[in-house]
Order: sequence, then structure tokens, then C-alpha cells
Amino acid sequence: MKKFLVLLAVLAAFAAQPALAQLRVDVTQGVAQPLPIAIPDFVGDPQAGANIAGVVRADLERSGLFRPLDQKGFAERVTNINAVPNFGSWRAITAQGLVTGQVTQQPDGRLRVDFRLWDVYGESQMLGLQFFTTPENWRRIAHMVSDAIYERITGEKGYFDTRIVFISETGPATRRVKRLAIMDQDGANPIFLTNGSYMVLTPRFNPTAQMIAYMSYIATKPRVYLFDIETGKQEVLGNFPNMTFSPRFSPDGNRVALTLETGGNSDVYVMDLRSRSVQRLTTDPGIDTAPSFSPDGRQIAFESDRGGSQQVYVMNADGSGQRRISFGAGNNGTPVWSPRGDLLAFTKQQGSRFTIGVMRTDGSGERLISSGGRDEGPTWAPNGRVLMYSRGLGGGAGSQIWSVDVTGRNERRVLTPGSASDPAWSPLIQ
Amino acid sequence: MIRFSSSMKFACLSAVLVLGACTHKQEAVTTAPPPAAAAPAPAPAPVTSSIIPGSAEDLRVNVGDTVHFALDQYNVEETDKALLGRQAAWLQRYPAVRVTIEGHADERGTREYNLALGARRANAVKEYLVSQGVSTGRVETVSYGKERPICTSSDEGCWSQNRRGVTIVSGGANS
Amino acid sequence: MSSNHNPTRARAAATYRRTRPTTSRGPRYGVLVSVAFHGLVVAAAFFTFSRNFETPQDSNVVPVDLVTIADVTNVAAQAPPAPEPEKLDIPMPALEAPPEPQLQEVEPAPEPPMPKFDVKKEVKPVEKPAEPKKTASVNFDALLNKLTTPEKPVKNARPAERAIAGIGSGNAMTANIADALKSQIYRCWSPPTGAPDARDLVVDYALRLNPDGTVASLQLTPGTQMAAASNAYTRAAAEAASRAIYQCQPYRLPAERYNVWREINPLRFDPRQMMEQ
Repeated sequence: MKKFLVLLAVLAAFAAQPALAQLRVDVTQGVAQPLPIAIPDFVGDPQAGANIAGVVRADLERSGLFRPLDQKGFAERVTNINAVPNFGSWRAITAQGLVTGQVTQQPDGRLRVDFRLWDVYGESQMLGLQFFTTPENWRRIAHMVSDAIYERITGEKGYFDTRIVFISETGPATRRVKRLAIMDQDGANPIFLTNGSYMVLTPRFNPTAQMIAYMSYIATKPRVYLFDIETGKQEVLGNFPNMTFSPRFSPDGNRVALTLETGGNSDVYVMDLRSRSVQRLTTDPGIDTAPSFSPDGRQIAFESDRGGSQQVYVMNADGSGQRRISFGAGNNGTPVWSPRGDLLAFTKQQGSRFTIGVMRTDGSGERLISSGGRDEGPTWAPNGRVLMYSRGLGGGAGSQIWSVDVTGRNERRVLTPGSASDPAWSPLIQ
Repeated sequence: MIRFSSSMKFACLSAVLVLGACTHKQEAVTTAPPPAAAAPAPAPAPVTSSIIPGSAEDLRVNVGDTVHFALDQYNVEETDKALLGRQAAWLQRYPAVRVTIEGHADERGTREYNLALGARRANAVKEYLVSQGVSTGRVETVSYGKERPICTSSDEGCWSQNRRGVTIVSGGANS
Repeated sequence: MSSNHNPTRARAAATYRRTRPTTSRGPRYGVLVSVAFHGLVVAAAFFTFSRNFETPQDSNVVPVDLVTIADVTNVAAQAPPAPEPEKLDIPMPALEAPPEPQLQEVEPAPEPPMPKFDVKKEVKPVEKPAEPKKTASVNFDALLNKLTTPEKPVKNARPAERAIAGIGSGNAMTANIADALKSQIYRCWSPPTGAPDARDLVVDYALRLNPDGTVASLQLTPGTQMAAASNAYTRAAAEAASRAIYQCQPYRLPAERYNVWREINPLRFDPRQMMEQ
């Protein structure tokens, strides 16, 4: 019995002890701030080294999660990326990360790019990678370096080696010329894909970024077309009797969901690109449009005014189980499923004010993340972390493309040549 | 990746040509009107003598080509029925004429919703004309959503002008 | 000793006690048992409550310059738009050969990571007086490697009197120290936000501090180590927390209470509250 009591006493002491001996602290508040990172020009080929480091700095800076430090303040000059840096001198300029890189010309004419990412406080190499490329291809390598750094530091896939397809706009609002255009994610290498003699709208990439679906007024009836980037061929999608619009690819790229208007009524259909068979998914007399697949391909979000105002609905990919999920203020439309599957981005309209929001796929947790009053048509970065959208300027002044972090931070303009709208983000280029 | 790049170049170079080719393949070109002299009905005295009876301009100026809609609505307003009645009568007078009804929306609405709404409006006008005896085969519809405003300020005065259905002569007119 | 009692007598005593509360032997046992159980209850209660006492979840030591996510959003919103991209004329495909899409012949396959440097061999003596403890540096790969040899739980090795000494600390003063530490770390902590499941972003450290407030040692708790080994989000969150801890040292805490703050375990970083804003 006495033994039992001793045991009890010991247990009691142990039960109370940990909390008492060691302080517990829960840090629940922080200050969102970009990570100070030093990215000196890569050594080796001075021009290519400066170019590549410059693109990497710009990529990381635009993400809002990094603050590349000004090279003028660097105390240490990197000359050999195979030596361990003097971390103290990088800490002294507040750098927490350091990227050292080297560009060398290979005997066969190619560029070899090596880089290392260092943890300045941890005094360890976090990453070391090597790429080969043709010299004119240095921008893509720079974006790949950015992606690797971003992924290693944040734990998320990057999104820098991607492209944007969008609508380039010129001319007055009443006779605006809209052309299909494509550019790198950072605005470099912009190219027109159509000549402006007819209007085009709402382009979307397929999952391999080899094909674009979009709406075109090239013929008497506006229809959805496919533009095959591989062959340069364009074809009207399907043999629909009337206007088709708002296309979006399925995650496997084998199907396109779109809207077909018949006798004034718009409904959502899905077309199988291999068999060309068409399935009608909605039959409601209301306007059903703007379909978007979930990343697993099993569900489709769309917008409908069947309940009296435009709201976001979700259905199974075969059209069953249609249910409204948005119950927030105003009208809610153009739902776009996050590549991660956890969120829907959408356009909220209250009066004449348009804002981009995100909500969970059951409609809960609505947050507005853009600040313009004419923001619409969200598109996700392939990592589900950043969105782009069109921002109208009002008064016929055209529109711009903006981006914002899914948290609502780091809202900024995406530079385009002239007015631009309807951005669609490609997947990571393979 | 290699495929992407090389094809991309090709795509860019050939985009215009290809698109042009597609046009002809996909849609019959509707630019060959029947003989213009076929207007048998005696035209009413034109308001302005320079306008040719049975022409696109005749419809636009002497009959009226535009009706308007309430916000998010697509029913033909009572006040517009007289105008559409005149359009129907005019179309019966010039049976060779074909028209396209454009449906438009104001800027309040997403791009997709407005395309659908414009289609509703264009179709409502078409149905009214058909109910007045116009053959359905002579009337096409097209929606421009909010992409073709005639007025660009953000106020009701402007929005109400943009919410419209416009009857455009697409073929068979005197000229 | 009680070991001499035979089972029958013990049972008899127990039975007897039930009917006769006050006998020569009964009371002693009864009191002892009672004291023991009450002690347990108190201990259990204390253990439970002490969490609240020591780390009040909602303690309002919110520093004045706390920036909430909403504020940041507004600031961003007010930022003037970027300058116009002056005349980046897009070349027309029909007019001239378009610029190469720059996609040729990329060999994306990054070769396997270069061999890692053995940093430790080349670490020089510390130059900065502000960071006297070089051992404090964290090599995450090393941390993760420790998975194979998990740290022994320290708790049970503690002498019992530490608990008694601590009783005096489990009060508002302790809470103040916890808040003081929080208010110094928070400004260096940029909370991670990326993971689809926010629970993956919660990380626990065991932190030992030197009397001068610098980091003596920093270890992920075994649970977080395990999670970080398999989850890139957790690893990134752990690294972000580590950077915050090092960046904001030395911590200014009352020297006379060093026994309270020499070891913080767990030092938890939990961004979920901020994510919900």
C-alpha cells in the first residue's frame, strides 16, 4: 500500500512537472514581411550572369515573399561559388538567404548555370542545382532557378516558369480591338496570336499549355475555338448550332466544358475532345455559364441566375447534384477552382462594384482579396497561391491585368504592352 | 518543351493565315445579296430623299433599329413594341432582307453572364418579330455582352443606353 | 513495512473502514488515501490550468506596431499603380519574324543536387559578439537526420523539486515573461501561409536561452521533426520560425527570473489565427 502511495505521489509530481519546469510559449502573431535575400550577379559570363540574376531577383521580388537586397550594400564579393560564403558578412547586411550562381559557356556553345541557395543563419546549403541551355534561352533557366528557390524556402511549388494568355486591347471602348496574345509570366516575350480583325474573349490554357480554348467572333456566330500551339492550327470546337462561350479544359485536358446558347437560353455542356461527343449538364431556363472543373475532374463549379441572381453553383461532372454554394452579399460569378482544390476564386458584384474573392468549395469562408472596383475573371497560378484578374479602369479607359496573393497581400499590376484583360495562367511549362 | 517552342514559332507566323482559312471553312460567307432591284412594294415617301427605301439606312433612320431593356431583364418593353412592329412591317415589305439582332448588356455583370444576357435580349427581339409575322429564317441573333458599349461612363444614363437590342440588316437590302 | 501485511488483513481493513470510519487504524489510511487523491486532483487541475496561466491564449500583449493582414492589404491597395510599360510594342507575326519564344532545347532536368558542403568543418570562429553561441546555428538537414535517434524525453529525468520551485512561477509573472518573449519574437516572424492544411504550419521548438538572452540551443520537438521530414510546408514553416528566433535575439527578459525562461518548450509558432483574418 505504501508503495502504491509513493507511486501516486510520483505520478502527481510528473503530471504537474513539465508545465512548471519549462515555459510554454505560443507565438500566434507575426509580421508578414518578405525574406531578405542576397542574389549577387552570377559569376562566370558577366553579361549572362547579370541577366539571369536580374530575372531571378525580379521574379522573387514580385512574389511579395522575398526582398532581394541591393547589391551595392554587399560586403562580400562572390567570386567562387564552390567556396563556403562568409555568412557573418551576409548577416551583417540582414540577408537571411543567399544565392550564388555561375554561368559558363560550354565547348558545345551551351550555357551551364549552377546555383546554390544558402541559409545564412543556419550556415548551410539549402539547395544546389545545375542547368544547361542554349544561350538565347537564359530567361527560362532564370525562371527555373526562381522556382527552385521559391519552392525550397516556402515549401510550395513555384510559378515563374509559366506563361499568360490574355486579350490585348487597343482602340476606343466602343470599337475596341481585342487580340489573343501570349507572354511570359513576367511580361517578357509578348506575342500576338490573332490579328485583331475580329474580337476574341476568355482564352484558357489546357493542362499541358499546348492548346488554348477561347471565344472568337471570326465567323458570323461567336463560337469557342481551339488554338493548337503545337501545329498552329485553329478549329471551331464542335458543331454547335449557336453561340458557344466560356470554355474551360478538364484537368486531364480531354474535355472542354463550355456554354451553349440556344433560343436565348444558356446552359453548360461538356465536350469530349477525342470522341467529340457532347453532354448537356444543365437544363435550367436560367443562365448557366462559366463552368470550371475541380482539379480531380469530378465536380464543376458554374454560375447561374436560376435563383433570381447570379450565384455560384457546384455540380458533379455528370451534371447531377446541382447546388448553390454562394450566399454572400451581391452577385457571385465566374467561379474558378484552385489547382489545389481547396478554394474557389470568383467575381463578386455589388451594384457596379466588382471584386475578386475566394471561398471554400462549400461556399464558406468567403474573403475578398482584390481592391479594385472593376476586378473580374480570376485565374490561378499553378501553385494555387497567386491569382491574376482583369481590372477595368472605367470610363472606357481600358483595362489592366493585376495579380494578388491568395491572402490578399501583394496586389500589383502585371505589366502588359497596352491594355489587357482576361488573363489565363498556364501550368508550369514541361 | 521542344515541341512547344518550335510549334510556337510556327503558330505565330501562321496564325493569321490559318485563321483566315478557318473562316472560310467554318462558315458560309453571307455577303452575296440577292439582286437589289427586287423590292416590289412601293415605298412610302421617305423622310429624306437621299435614303434608299429598303436599305440598311432606311431601317436605321426611318424605322428605328434599337430597343432598350431594364437591368438584368430581357423582356421587350411595352414602349418598344410599336418600334418592333414597324420593323416587322418593314421586313414584310422587303422580303429579301435578312437581319441580325445584336444583344448588348451594360457593364454590370461578368463577361460570361453578359454574353448570355445579350443572347436572351437578342432572342427576345427575334421572337417578337417572328410573332409579328417575320419568317424565323430571316432573323439571326448575336450577343456582344458588354463588349460593344455605345457609351462608356458608369452611370444609369449610360447603362440604359447600352442595354439594347439592335436590328442590323445583314443581307438582301437595297443599296 | 506494508509489505508484511497479508492480503486478508488489508482487505479486512478496507471492509472495516467502510462501516467504521473512526478506528485506530482506519483514519490513518483514510487520510493518507484521501490526501493522495486530493493531491492528484489538485495536481491534475494545476496541470490543466497551468497551461492557461502560463500561456494565456488570448493574452493581449499585442505590440503597438502589430500589423494585421488587413492593414497590409489596405496599404497595398493604396500603392500607386506601377508605371506604364512604355511602348513595349508587340511585334506582329505578319510583319516580322516573331521573337523566339525562347523555349528551345531547354534541358530542364536539373542534374542531381551538387554534393553538399560540409559546413561544419569550415565554420570559422564567431566574429560577431552579438551572437556568441555559434553552436546555436541550425542545420535543418542535420535536425531531420536526428529522427533516427530521437531525443530522450527530458521530462522524466527532472528532479521533483524543480516542480516545487516552479509552482511559484506558474502565475501572472510567468505569463508576463511568456508575453515578453512573444512580443520580441513576433516582429521577426513572417508567418507561413501556404499550406492547404494550416495545421501543417504549426511547429514546436525546444529553445534554451543563455542568461544574456541569446540562443543556447534550438531543437525541433520530435513531433515537428517527424512532420518536417515528410512535409515540405512544415519544413518551410520550421525554417521560418528558426529564422525568426535567431534574427530577434538576444531577448531582453528579467535576469532574476532566468530559471523561468532558460528553457522554453514548446515554443510554438501557430499562424492559424493570422490566416483567418
